[in-house]
Parts: sequence; C-alpha cells; structure tokens
Amino acid sequence: MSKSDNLLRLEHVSKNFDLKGRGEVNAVRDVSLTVKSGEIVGIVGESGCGKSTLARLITCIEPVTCGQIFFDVREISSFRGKELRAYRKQVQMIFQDPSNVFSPRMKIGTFLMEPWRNFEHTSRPEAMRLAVEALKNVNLDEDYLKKYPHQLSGGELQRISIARAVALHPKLLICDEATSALDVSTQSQIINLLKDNHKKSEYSILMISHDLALAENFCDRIAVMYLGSIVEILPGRGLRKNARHPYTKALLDSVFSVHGDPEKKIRILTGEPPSPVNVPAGCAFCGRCPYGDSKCERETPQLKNIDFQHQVACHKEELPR
Amino acid sequence: MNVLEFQDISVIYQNGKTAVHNVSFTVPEHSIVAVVGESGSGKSTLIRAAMGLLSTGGSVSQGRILFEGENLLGFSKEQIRSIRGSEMAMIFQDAGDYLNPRRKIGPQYIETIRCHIQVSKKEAGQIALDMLSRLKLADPERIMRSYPFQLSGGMRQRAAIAMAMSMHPKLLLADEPTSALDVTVQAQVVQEMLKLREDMGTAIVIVTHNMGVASRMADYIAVMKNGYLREFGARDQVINAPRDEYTQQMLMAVPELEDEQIVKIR
Repeated sequence: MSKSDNLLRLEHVSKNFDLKGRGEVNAVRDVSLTVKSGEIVGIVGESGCGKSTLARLITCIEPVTCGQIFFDVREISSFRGKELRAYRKQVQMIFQDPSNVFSPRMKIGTFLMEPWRNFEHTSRPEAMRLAVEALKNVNLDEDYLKKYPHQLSGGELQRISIARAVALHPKLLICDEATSALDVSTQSQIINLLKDNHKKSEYSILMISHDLALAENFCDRIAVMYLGSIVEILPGRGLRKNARHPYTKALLDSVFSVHGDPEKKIRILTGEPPSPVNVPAGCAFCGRCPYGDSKCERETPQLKNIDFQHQVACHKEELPR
Repeated sequence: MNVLEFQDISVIYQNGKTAVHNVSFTVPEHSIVAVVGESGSGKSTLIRAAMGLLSTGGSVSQGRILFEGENLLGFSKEQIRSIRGSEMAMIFQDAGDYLNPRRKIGPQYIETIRCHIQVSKKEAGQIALDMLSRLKLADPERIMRSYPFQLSGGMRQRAAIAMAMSMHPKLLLADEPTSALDVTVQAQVVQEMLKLREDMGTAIVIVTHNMGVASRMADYIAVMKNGYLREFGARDQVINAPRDEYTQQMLMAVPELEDEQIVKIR
C-alpha cells in the first residue's frame, strides 16, 4: 500500500451514552478523520473531550451511535466472528497504565506468547522463540520471560506491551496516553522505541495524548478535540506557528515550556468546558472564546480546508494568527 | 532570612529503606523553590517530613529542619499543631481526596478556619468567600454550597489552595498540585500560586515532575534522584547551564514545542 491510501476513515462518527431518562452524554460528536497507511496521527485534547471514547469506537470495544468507520475500505460495524477477530489482529492498542494490562499471575513469557498461540496456533517452542525475538525488538533480553509483572518497572512493562502489540504486524497501532504514566526519561525511551519500530515496519499510529509538545515531536498530523468534536486538524510541525482555532491556541498558551521565558505573561483560558450532556447546537467553544458572536451560538461550525493538511472548524475566517 | 532550611536530612522507612539521603537546602523568604525529580526520588517524602506528615513507619533519621530558625523536629505535638495550617500549609495532588465527600465545602472550610483563629462562623464564612474571590473563582457562594463531587478537579484544587491560603501562612508546601489537572487548568493554578507570592509574600516549595512548571514558577530548583539531591541552584543556572549529568539528561528528555527548541539548540 502506498502512503496516499487511507487505512482508516471515520465519517461523521458520533457516540452517545444513554443516561436512562436524564438525557444522553454526547461523548463523540460528528467526527470525520482519516489515517493514511504509515501515517502517525495525534489526537489531543483535555480530559473528557472524547479522545479515548474515539479509540474505543475504532477498536470495536464500543459500537458507534451513528456514522461509519472504514478500515481498508470496509465498514467495521458489520464485522462479526472471524472477521472481527481478523480485524482485532490488525488493530492493536497500548494503554496508559501498563500495570493494569498484565495479569499479575502470568509470567512475561506466557504473556508474550499469546499473540502467536491465539491467532496463529503456533506450537509452544516456536512461540517461545518468537517471544524472545519480540523482546529483543524492544531492547530487552530473554531473562524477562521468566519474570512476573510486579518485578518490572512501568517503563519495562510498557516496552513489553509494545512488543506484544506489534508482534503480529498490525496495520494500526492505537496508543492511548501510552506514556503519560511514565517519568520523562522513560517516556523519551518509549517514544524513541516506537519511532524506530514504526520506521522498520510501516504501520499507522493513532496517538492519543494530552501533551501537545510530545504530539508535535511524534506526529505527522494532529487533530485537536473539544467536547467530542474535532476543532482543528493541523500538520504535526510548527503548532504555534500554524494554530488557527482559538481553542488550539489557548491549549498552546497553557503549555509551560522548560526553556520558555519565565517573565512571559500567563494567558488563561477562563471557565470550564460545558457539560457533555445534551450538547446544544452552535460552537461548543463559543462561551469561552474571545471572538464568539451570535452566529457561533446558533450554528455548529464544520471543518473547512484552509491549507494543505490543515482544517479548522470556526466561523471566523480572519482570525489573528 | 530563610523560611525553611533542610540541614543534612535523611528519612528512613520501616522496611529499612532510606528514601532521602543527607539533603540540605534553604528556602529564602518570599521565594519559590521547585523540587523536581522522577517517581521514587524522595521529593514528596522530603516535604512531608517538613510538615510532620510522613506516612506510617517513616521517620527522620538525622538532620534538622528549621522553620524560621527553629528546629521543627524538636517540636512537641502542640507546637506543631500551632504552626501547621496557620504558619505553614500544604496542598496535595488530588485535593478532592482530602475533602470530606459527605460535607459541603462551606462548613469544611469554615471549620478549618475556626481551628486556627478565633472568629465567629459568620466571620469565617466571610474570610472564605474573600479568599475564593481573590483566587478569581467564579461564583464563590455556589462553591461554598457545593459538595466536593459537584466541582471539577480544577475547581477543587483551587478551592483547596484557597483553604490553605486563608490563614496567610508564611510557607506553602505543594505536593504535585497540578499533576492531575489539564493544561489549561494547570495554567490557572500556577498563575494563582504566583499571585499569592506577589500579594502576600508567601514562600512556596512546590514538588513536581513537570519541568515546565518548575521552570516557570521557581526562583530556585532542587533536582533529586533516588533520594539524593543532585543539584540545587538558581532557576536560570539549573535550566540553562545544568551542572549535574542527571539534570542534563532529564532536561533533554522533556519534549518541547518547536519554537522553544530553537532556543534550546542555541
């Protein structure tokens, strides 16, 4: 597959959770997004913006309420049985807290053999050989096979999660805050490991994160979410230079850079995001936006192309840069 | 004059592990000191020792902690009580966990104030409202009437900071006060702490793993690893010309936005 093909395509995807008579939570609202094969796409936003729900929709952990998700041109909601199994082999996920991923009573070796034992019916000795190889792939030696999860650090466990996730050469890897529970130096090791591994094997990555600086260092394109919808999709380099949506800018202004000027005035985004229960029409960011007007209150802005690989959902065409 | 002074402090836990080894540094009046390090570096243990709040089995095995020149470790329980909360206050990572979930913020807040100063309930309520509005929290009356779960994490954290600040302490110890918060809320909390120092001259010791926050807030930075103090110095020196190898590695590992990286290379 060439780099221009869409591996994953979301079309107007929404997810509502019913609150049993007290309305419904609009967790994901009308999201359209594509991930090309080999591409690294970041999804950033604050807690409660629906970024993890989106990952659960893509992995078929939750069904969509409306809209369609295409994977390799096929719609995934129709997948059942064998097809779903095959799909889950191709789409792998890495979670935030590795210590919750491992069964405490399972040795790392058994854990790492599972992909081959489950999906390929490989014999035990052969699976063991492949597990050792998978460990080498993440720069760990075979002594780890005999260890239990509690004997390892968070960073080591996360490496092993990665080893297992990429074991059967998936086409899409979803990292849901994969490094946010780790210390900075461990985080940079894991990110470098993912970068190297990605170069070698050409899968796509959907990286969910709240850390804009990390996303900028890792992603080809970044989608910014606010209250369930994407407000801006922009190229992964030069965020500060390119950001147009007032929310993206507010997020960037809130990042404290280590080498930033300590005298620089802190610009604060006032207020709180509105409740995701029964979200009204109009721009969700309107109430906190310095440029909001009556049109923003009435009409929901759609994502519009404004540049190569750059889309913004905002009524204000001429925003100050 | 130093508000707080760690002199050769070691902290040992019941299992025989030494969490902090011979740490010494000082917190001058009105200054902000950031203690940074990775998990397990002993940074939280250090400030908990100053507050007399080491978790079970932890004890200071040697050294002195001076608060305005007096050794805190020699204080009786009553003496500690008289300064804790009123002279030195502390805020924690998730303030929501430290509030009683079955009581509204108002009564808890008023009770806290009345533990330290002799005022009527009404006066205490007024002090609380003043402090909340001073921290630019929208609708302080509503906050006083709310249960902790009715407020967002950011609001709770800011309410807890307000509580800690009501007695105008000379020293605020903050243990990862922004780590559980989103970046936009983190910015609000950082700004509020800076404003407290500006308005009331409160000295702050902030424990954080976020180098960006440390760099923005601090006058001095202490870098800890595995219980040892690796480097202590003025903010500019530690950030721009770190002497310790570990500090350098850690600073290199922090992802930065592109325009700031340019500065880094230069």
